This record gives sequence, C-alpha cells and structure tokens, in this order.
Amino acid sequence: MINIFKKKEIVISTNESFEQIKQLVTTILGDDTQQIDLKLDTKFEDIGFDSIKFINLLLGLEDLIDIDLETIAAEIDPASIQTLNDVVQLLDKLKKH
Amino acid sequence: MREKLEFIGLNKRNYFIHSHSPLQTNRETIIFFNPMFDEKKRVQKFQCETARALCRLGYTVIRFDYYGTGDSGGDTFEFDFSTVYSDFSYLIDHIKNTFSPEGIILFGIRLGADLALMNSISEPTIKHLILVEPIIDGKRYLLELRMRKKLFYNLNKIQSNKEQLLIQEQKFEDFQGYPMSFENLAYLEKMNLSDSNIIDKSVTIFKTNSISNKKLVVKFKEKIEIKKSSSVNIHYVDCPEFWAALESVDTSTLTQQIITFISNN
Repeated sequence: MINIFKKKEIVISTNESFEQIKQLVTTILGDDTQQIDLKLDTKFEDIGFDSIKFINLLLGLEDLIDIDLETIAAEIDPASIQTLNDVVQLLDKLKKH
Repeated sequence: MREKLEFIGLNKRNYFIHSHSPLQTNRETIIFFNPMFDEKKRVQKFQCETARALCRLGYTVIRFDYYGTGDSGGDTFEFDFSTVYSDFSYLIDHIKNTFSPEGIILFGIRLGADLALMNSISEPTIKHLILVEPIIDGKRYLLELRMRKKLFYNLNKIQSNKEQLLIQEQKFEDFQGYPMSFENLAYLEKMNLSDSNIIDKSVTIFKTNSISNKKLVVKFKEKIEIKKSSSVNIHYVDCPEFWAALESVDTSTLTQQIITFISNN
C-alpha cells in the first residue's frame, strides 16, 4: 500500500515538473515554439536548442526551485540529456534536495 | 554619420577600431566593451544597431576588439585580461587626441561589462557606465561556461573533447574553440563585481529576461550602494530574444530602451 502511494506521488510530481519544463522551454524558444508540440520524448536537438539555450534552461531551474547552480552542476550529466524527459527527471531529483 | 574602420598601434599592439562619428556631435564619446567567447558573435547585430542609434543621437561611438580577439592583432590564445587593462589608457589617450570628448561613457556587454567597470576605476574622468547583462560572479560564469561546453559537445555529438590544450608549451583550457590560459582562468575565478571599489560612478544595468540569475544583479546593486560610493540603477527589459540565435534576432526592444534612457539623461 505504501508503495502504491509513493508511485502515485511520483507521477503527480513528474507531471508538474513536465509542465514547468515545458513552460521554460517555451519561454526560451519564444515564437519558435508555437508550432511545436512539446512531449516528454521531444529531443532538444529537434527543437533548435544550442548550448546557450540549454544553459538558460538550467538557470531557469535555479530560479524555479531556488537551488544554486553548483548543486545543479553536481547532479547533471550533460552527456545524458537528450530529451525533455531527461530534464524532467533532473528537476524531480533536484526537488528532493 | 561617418563610420571608419582602422588598425591602430596601441602599446605596440595592433588594434582594430570601428568609430561612428555623428554629423553633429554632442561632444560625448561612448566606448563599447565586447563580450567574450561565442557571446561576441551573438551580440554583433545588437552592438551594430545600438552603436548607430547612439550615433544618431550625437554620440561618437567607439567599438574595438581586444588584442587576440576579432579583427585585432594577436592569436586567440594571446588574449589576456592584464593586456586589456594595460592598453586601455593608450586607447583613452587615442580617443582624447582624436575626438576631444568632453565626457566618456563605457558601454559593456556580459564580460565586457566587467572589463568596462574595472577599467573605469583607474579613469576618474569616466563617470557613467552602461552595463548590459553583466557577469557579476566570475567563478559562477566559469561554471556556466564549463557546463555549456559539455552541453555543446553533447548536442553536436562530439566524442573526443579535449579539456586542455597545449599551445607553445603552455596549458590552456578550451571553451568551444576559445583557449583560455590558466592566468586568465585564475582571474575569472577571483572576479566579483560586487567587490569592486568603484568611486563616484553612475552605473546603469540593462537586464533582459533572456538570461536568468536576477538575484546576483540585485545583490551587486545593494553591495555597491551600501558603500555609498556610486549609484546603481537596474532596468529590466522584456527581450527574451537577446541570446536566442546568432544574428537573426530582433533586439530592437533592448536598443530602444537604451536609446530612451540615454536621451532622457
């Protein structure tokens, strides 16, 4: 029973994190996102993300959950980030700090 | 408006200088300080449009490339923060001799904002600075650059990224093609605008919503104003496109706000 409860909690958290990441990505891409349907498996390379947009996304996380960049840097493996879901997972992880 | 592009020898180094001279001068000169790394390319159009808009207001505008960057002499690895400081007085002398300005304003973007502010300390005649998206904390900026480098390699699927370069038997850290000496890295590690001892200056900061990290700018204002040695004003500008993509972006909102501010002051 405890396990089911925990699972439900994680699902809700991930949905919230996904919405937060979608909002950040939309802000960073500006007008370019109007025709893009952002999904969890959307790849950053497919929506025109470069390293500056990426770092702005990470700085956005800093403001979003009031956590410093050093902590984000310690938790992130840039080589593993391909999709929106990877950043959603990172945000969920950071929220537990 | 007349624009002149020339190479000038300053302190035995070859500098590229782009001057914008108005038809009717107001006797004030604005010197632009470039950002570094790939940020320099990103702001090219914004700088150009802002320089011309300021020139139309009557300002003489000077844009130049640091030694080892852009069109100026020296290889990329020869860029050195200490050279920026040592050669600035020569640049100021050249500007005074050529344009006879009654006032000089420094206009710096990102890391250029820091270089403008630090250079102004040794020039008491410089009373006003305009800083666009200044880097407040050099250590944090280095962290951002290192993260960006990894993200860049990941996005571009580059496997063998060398952390260090050896040029003329000296070690450099590579930042997406821009080598930084360990002396420069040590300088950046220590650099913190909030600790700068600026006296009798009026600092105006333009902060867009394209880059986060508003808290550090506010802290900088508080720390400088506690010392009561200078004033700091922050203008928040809705211009999320500022860093969006190389030169194809519309940064007219930011340029317009700067022009409005300068026209009213």
